[in-house]
Amino acid sequence: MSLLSRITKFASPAPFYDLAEHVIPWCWIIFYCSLLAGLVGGLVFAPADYQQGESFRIIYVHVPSAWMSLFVYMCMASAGIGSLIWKTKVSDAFGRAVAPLGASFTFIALVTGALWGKPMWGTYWVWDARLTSELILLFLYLGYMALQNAIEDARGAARAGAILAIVGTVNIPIIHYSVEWWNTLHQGPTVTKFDTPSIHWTMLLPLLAMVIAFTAYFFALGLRRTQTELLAMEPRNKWVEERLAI
Amino acid sequence: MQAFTAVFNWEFRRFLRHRNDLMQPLVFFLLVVTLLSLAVGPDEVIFKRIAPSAAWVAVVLAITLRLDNLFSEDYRDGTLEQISLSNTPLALVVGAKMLAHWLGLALPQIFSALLFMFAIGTDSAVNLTLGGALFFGTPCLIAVGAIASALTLGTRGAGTLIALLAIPLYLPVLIFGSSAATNAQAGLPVDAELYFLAGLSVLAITLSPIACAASIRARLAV
Repeated sequence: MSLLSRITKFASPAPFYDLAEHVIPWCWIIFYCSLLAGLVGGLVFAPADYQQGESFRIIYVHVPSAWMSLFVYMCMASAGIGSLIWKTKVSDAFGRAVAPLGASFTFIALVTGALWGKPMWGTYWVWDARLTSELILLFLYLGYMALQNAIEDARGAARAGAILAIVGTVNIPIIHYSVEWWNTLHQGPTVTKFDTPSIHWTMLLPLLAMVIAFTAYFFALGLRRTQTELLAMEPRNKWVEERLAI
Repeated sequence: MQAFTAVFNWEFRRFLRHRNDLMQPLVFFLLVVTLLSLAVGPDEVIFKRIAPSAAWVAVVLAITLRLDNLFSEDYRDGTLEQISLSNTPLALVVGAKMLAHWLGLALPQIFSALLFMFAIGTDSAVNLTLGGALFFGTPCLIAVGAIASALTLGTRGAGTLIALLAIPLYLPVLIFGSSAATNAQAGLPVDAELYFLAGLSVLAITLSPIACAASIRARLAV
């Protein structure tokens, strides 16, 4: 079997299901280890900020969720491209499965940001570029889920959702560069820029550990949800009966 | 080109023949503006300050509620399917429909917004800026709304779903349009906002027909 077909065979439901079964336990292991490292490093070992004191530590939840909200949307849009061009069932199922996870990450980012903003800026919310565009991202996720629920046919729903996800991708660079393009209250880029990070390594390493933890969590849950979507898509198929009998 | 003009004539004539389609959005604009005015209360200073924003919100709502008109009638009686099977590029047909709806739906809204601002007695510079902002911004609204309308063809509760899909994508237009009017009220330059609106509109007009055509094909293939 050529290398390409060894990869592309995972675009069909049954091989993907079995691959996910193998991968998910590793994702959980990575999640628990990096979560432990991130929380201990961030809550115990990282020094208190000279300006914000101890309350800066919410960064270890806020920033990973915000990054995940963008990452999951890109995953969803990529799955959408797969659905439109190659019409694979796995990409249909994956897009549908990860949308609620992305919406949850966006919601957590907005709420933790608001909780952080009250002691730091004096307000829970302000209509600056980054917060507004992140809120728009939440609406895009909710619209995507609403559209998929409104269309009964699974293939049609996946196609329509794919187009919506691709159209909404224009929001992602707006969110990312909003702090550079506009004069915003939200602080500027400290890590994802073409320069050394403007954050001390003792605070940065637990942050990276938390990002790895959140990503592993997303893949563990996302793959599990994709498996469920695949089972629901073709309930009377032989491969489903075999997997469910075990 | 012939197909473009044919579809445009046909669609625009539908607006002229059904007076409802022309008048109802204008009455709706008036209602929304009245709602907002009464909700703000009798303080005239505050009201004059938010009047351009109220006009913008009314225009956005009026357009959003009328968007399912774009494709749903043709989808229901099968015309859209026939058009998609013909030689004419579906994107071209969508472009003609969008132009007809901009002239029939958005342009009257712009005039009523200007009339409303004139009736309130705001500065003529502000009125001109608001008119320009609406002129440059409404093509983007129609184009992006057309995508939402095409995606929800044949679904239950399409009306609110169109609003849910379209309004998040409208927010940049609303932000720039509103800040144009606010800057004009403060005497600041408005070039940046108008350029941004024009840029968003051009982007939307060029790319949206392709997305609409893809969405229509996706919905027809059920």
